Amino acid sequence: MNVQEAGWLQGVLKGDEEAFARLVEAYQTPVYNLCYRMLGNMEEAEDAAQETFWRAFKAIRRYDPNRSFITWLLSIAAHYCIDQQRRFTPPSLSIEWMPDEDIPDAAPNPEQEAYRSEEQRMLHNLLNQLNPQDRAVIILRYWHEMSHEEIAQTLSLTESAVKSRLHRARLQLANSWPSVHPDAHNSEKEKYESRAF
Amino acid sequence: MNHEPFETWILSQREENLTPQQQTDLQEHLEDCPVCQRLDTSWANVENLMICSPMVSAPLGFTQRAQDGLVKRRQREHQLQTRRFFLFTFVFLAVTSLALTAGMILFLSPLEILVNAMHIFARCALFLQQVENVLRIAVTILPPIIPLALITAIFGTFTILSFIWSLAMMRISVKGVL
Repeated sequence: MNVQEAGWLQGVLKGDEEAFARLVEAYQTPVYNLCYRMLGNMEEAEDAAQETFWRAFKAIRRYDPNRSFITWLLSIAAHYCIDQQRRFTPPSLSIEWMPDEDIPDAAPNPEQEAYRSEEQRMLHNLLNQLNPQDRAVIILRYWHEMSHEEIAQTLSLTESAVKSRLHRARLQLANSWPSVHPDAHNSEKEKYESRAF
Repeated sequence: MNHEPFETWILSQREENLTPQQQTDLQEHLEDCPVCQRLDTSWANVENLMICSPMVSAPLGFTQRAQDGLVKRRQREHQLQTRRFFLFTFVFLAVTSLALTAGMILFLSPLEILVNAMHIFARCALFLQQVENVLRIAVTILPPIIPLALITAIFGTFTILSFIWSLAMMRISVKGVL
């Protein structure tokens, strides 16, 4: 957290709504991304992200400045999304609309768009196979590039639990790949070459 | 066939750099094991898909909606606090009154309660009469300016207290108790 953000945080502590807005602006993308990847639905992701910021605003006095602010914020978002997922059955995924992604796309064309949509559909179908906590571990690892220690802090787990969940989730994702990818069976017949070499 | 530690190596080779010996062992195992070959290919595809998939941005106007939501949620929270505060006060008073009534009924007969009530009423009436007498004497003995000043001070104090009370009630209803 830089000096400016620390100033906003002080403002939020005093109940300043403008400072709160600046913090939301600074952290909306990671929070929204986590919620979207967790819930797989744009409207639910927006609600969850808004709820996250409201909960953070209410609990800001309990925030420990020695801890990373984004980790704390994502921890609130992850726990909220996990609770939501446990409470309700996962919604069927709608890919008619895909939210904006931070891709530098100079000349989008229908073919690229269709390809991207297909990739997103596969990704959501894969993530939907995981239980909420394993999904959160994968999202924090691959989209938020968190270390095992940071994931453990965010999800209130031990580091060994994070490693074990990562392994289990990766295995499950790899095993689910043929069922979500139409050409997976064909590509397996192609001459094998491992990434390790 | 035993797939460990090859399964672990396949799934975490991007994070944990394998030694040249481990790489050789893995290659030899993969040449003989179709299960691990499938796992390696599938995981490579899944991992590439995740790595190539960027962060999803929040929809336009997210910050504005968060700010508007904050105002509304704070108002709702304050209203809830106010309701809880008044409900608690009402319940507390009701329970205390009920407890006192129940206590009186338990320990005193209805006749005793009636006699005590009349006794208290008579004492109050007597006290008011004594106050009235004191005031009459004060009016006759003291110069006229002093009782007037006293009355002004009493009324002034009550007015100020009422004003503070109104302000407190207004603050509670708008901003909540806390």
